[in-house]
Amino acid sequence: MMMAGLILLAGTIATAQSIKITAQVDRPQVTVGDTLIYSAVVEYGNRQMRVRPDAPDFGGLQSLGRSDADQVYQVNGDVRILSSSQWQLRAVREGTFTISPSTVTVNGQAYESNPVEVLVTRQASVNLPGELKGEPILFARTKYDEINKKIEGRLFLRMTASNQNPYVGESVVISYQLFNNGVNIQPPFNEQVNQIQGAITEEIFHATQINPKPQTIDGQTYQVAPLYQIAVIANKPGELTFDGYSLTATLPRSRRSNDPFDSFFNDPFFGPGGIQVEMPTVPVRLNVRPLPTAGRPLGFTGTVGDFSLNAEVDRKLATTDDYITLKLTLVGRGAIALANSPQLRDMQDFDKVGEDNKVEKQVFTDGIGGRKIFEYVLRPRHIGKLKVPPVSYAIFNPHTGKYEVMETQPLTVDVTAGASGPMAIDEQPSDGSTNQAGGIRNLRYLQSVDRLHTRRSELLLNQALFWILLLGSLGLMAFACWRDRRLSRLDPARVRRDGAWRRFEKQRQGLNCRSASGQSPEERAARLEAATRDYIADRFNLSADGLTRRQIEDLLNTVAVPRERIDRLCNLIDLCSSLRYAPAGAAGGDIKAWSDEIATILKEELQ
Amino acid sequence: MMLKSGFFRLMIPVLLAVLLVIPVAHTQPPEGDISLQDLIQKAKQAFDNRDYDASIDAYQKLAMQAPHDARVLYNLGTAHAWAGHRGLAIWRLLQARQLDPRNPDTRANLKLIAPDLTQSPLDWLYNHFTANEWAIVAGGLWVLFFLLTALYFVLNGGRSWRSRLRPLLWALAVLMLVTWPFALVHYYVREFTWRAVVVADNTVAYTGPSENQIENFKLKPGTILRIEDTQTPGWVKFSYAGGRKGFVQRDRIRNL
Repeated sequence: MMMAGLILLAGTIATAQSIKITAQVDRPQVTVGDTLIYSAVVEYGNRQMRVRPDAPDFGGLQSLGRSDADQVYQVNGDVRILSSSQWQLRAVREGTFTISPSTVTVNGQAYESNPVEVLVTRQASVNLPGELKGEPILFARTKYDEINKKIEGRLFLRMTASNQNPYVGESVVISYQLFNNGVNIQPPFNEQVNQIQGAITEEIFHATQINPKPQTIDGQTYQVAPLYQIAVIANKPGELTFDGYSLTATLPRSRRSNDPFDSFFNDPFFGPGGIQVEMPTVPVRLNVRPLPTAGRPLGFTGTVGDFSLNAEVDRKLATTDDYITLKLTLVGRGAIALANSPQLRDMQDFDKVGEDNKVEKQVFTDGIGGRKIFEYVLRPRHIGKLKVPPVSYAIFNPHTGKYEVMETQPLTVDVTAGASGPMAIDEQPSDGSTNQAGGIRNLRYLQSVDRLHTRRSELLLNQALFWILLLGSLGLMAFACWRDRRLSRLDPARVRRDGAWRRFEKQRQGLNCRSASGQSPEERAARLEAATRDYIADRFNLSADGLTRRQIEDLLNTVAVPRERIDRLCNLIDLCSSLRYAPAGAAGGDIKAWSDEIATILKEELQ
Repeated sequence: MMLKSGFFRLMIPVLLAVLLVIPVAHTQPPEGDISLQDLIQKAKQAFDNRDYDASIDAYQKLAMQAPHDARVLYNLGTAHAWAGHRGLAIWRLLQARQLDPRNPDTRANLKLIAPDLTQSPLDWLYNHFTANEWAIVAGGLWVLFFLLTALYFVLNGGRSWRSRLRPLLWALAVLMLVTWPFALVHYYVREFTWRAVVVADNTVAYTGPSENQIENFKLKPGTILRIEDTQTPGWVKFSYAGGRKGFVQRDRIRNL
């Protein structure tokens, strides 16, 4: 058993040691728009394994697809397997890009390839008009370099974005146009429109056929055809990147010449077959800004755009039998379809019985907009000049970069009594009192019922758990009480000690109260002395009778009371005692001061 | 191994039947859920179209499904009010108030259609909370009181804490004395008494369970009665807050 384990371990180690992974590109230097192939090859010897390298970070090169292949060969009797994965990449901008190492994990151990550097140089844009040279335009590509050179700058797709730094919720229009300066392209046209993640999109225009119009740029005339236009509304902040639109077409071959390079400049005599030409675009990069938190109003609806709000009712005169439609119209530029409904508040004169909305979209060169109409069906609650209060609507205007709170004007509707509706209830109660509420027409409207509550709530007083909780707390109290009593029985000194201060304070308060009834100072002094002696006796669990000064001093010494305080306390006790026996010279105010001083000493030193 | 063909001949059709039925059964949506939502919608639409009888009919069906849903009872009461059925409206609104005593719509409508239903301050306090709410308050005070009392006995070292606890314990004891009666009365009324409300106009209380008996006094719609006896078919014996007793026909009242 141990031998088998050792052999397995050795095999695993041997296998692990023979894994190699390498990476390379077929073209380490390309121009913008070119494609290249990145390959990662894993070589290993264990036929039982299936190993594939992970996709690395391509460092800004656009990945167009992946393919995998395996190859098995033998060297001196050893079986080796080559597992290769290839990615087709496109260079979308100039610079030096480092493709990070590919990794493969075998038995928990990771293996890395070498990184690969790719240099992307600027496209030679000799034929491109000066006005367009600064734009990220990728030229059309075929598989023939000679053809590519000839069509360079003459055939391409141009992408424009109305705003590269929109706010969350702000619409950005991305447009794609085909620019053609004399290149004969033919169907079939195949387009690729990629899905955009992390944003709401609305297709504005999608060409069903190519209808070019001449446009002169820097002296060069191009046939320009709009192909595709989309409004993008990012719903979270950060960088939003998505692959753009691309188109493929065919360059025809000429029957009159066998030269494949001579076939497409306005030559009508094209033959069968053709050369596929690809017209890619760079990925779209939007830097989506979050909505500012400063200045955000409480009732912010989440609507972003440049809008205005208007309110109107369909009638100014009505009866209680009629319904009134309140129409709120939001007009302007922005993601109008996403605008949230305004909230109707303080509608004391009406009940809202229905709600609806409709959108009329409009497309502008720099965005989308239109009109959204919110309709509320209202029923008057009573007669009179009823008010529709102003409606507030808070939006964020990306053009000003600020929040705006719009408020409509209040509206009035004159409502008179209707013909239908029975007088269901006597408006005068039978006992003659006045009905202040105003009758049936002041009844409140129905409550909304979404889900029914079918269960009856059981009485808590019928629940065992409820009583367990009550009795449990009672039991706990009883236990604590019993414990306290038991401790008191076992340690009666503790009971005396614990109640000593309360008794002392009670007697002191009694002294102060009794002074009003005219008790003599001797009596008060006697009580003060007795209270002090009683406190000390209780504190040390002794009898107060016969407690001498010496004993008091010794007792206070045992609890480390400072000498001067012991002397002062004993002197005060003696003063009280001497007043009792020699009353001349003492005043009531002195006794209060003595009492306070005694209480201070005892509290600070013994309590 | 030879299979017992007879057994499998019997089992296979049974299994097939089960396998066929289960998917079919599962593809049917739960009927109850759909019809309830339709009924809710139908009731509201009928009310908005001022077809109060249809609205009442739909809300009554909903009330049978959910007799303890305060909103359904409120809507039913409001529909009755618009239809002119004052007594039935009061009955349903009182039921809604029992379940959700602080709902402002229920209180407003009840005040409107039954302004005679005045309440003393004590009644107002009693009716302002449900039985369980009173039980929670009383029970909570009870637990707090006894736990703090236990703490009082445990704090034998720190006597100053005891003196601070004492007023709090007194306050809790007083609050308990106030809240427990409400909780217990709610319990007693719900478990041991039977209350009803007069819904018909011109209801007369008799001295005995027969129309041949003497007419004792009149009862207004909305009067709450305590039912004491139901032995005579079609009649109930009642008493009510004024201390008066009598007999009234069963169909003139509804249970609360």
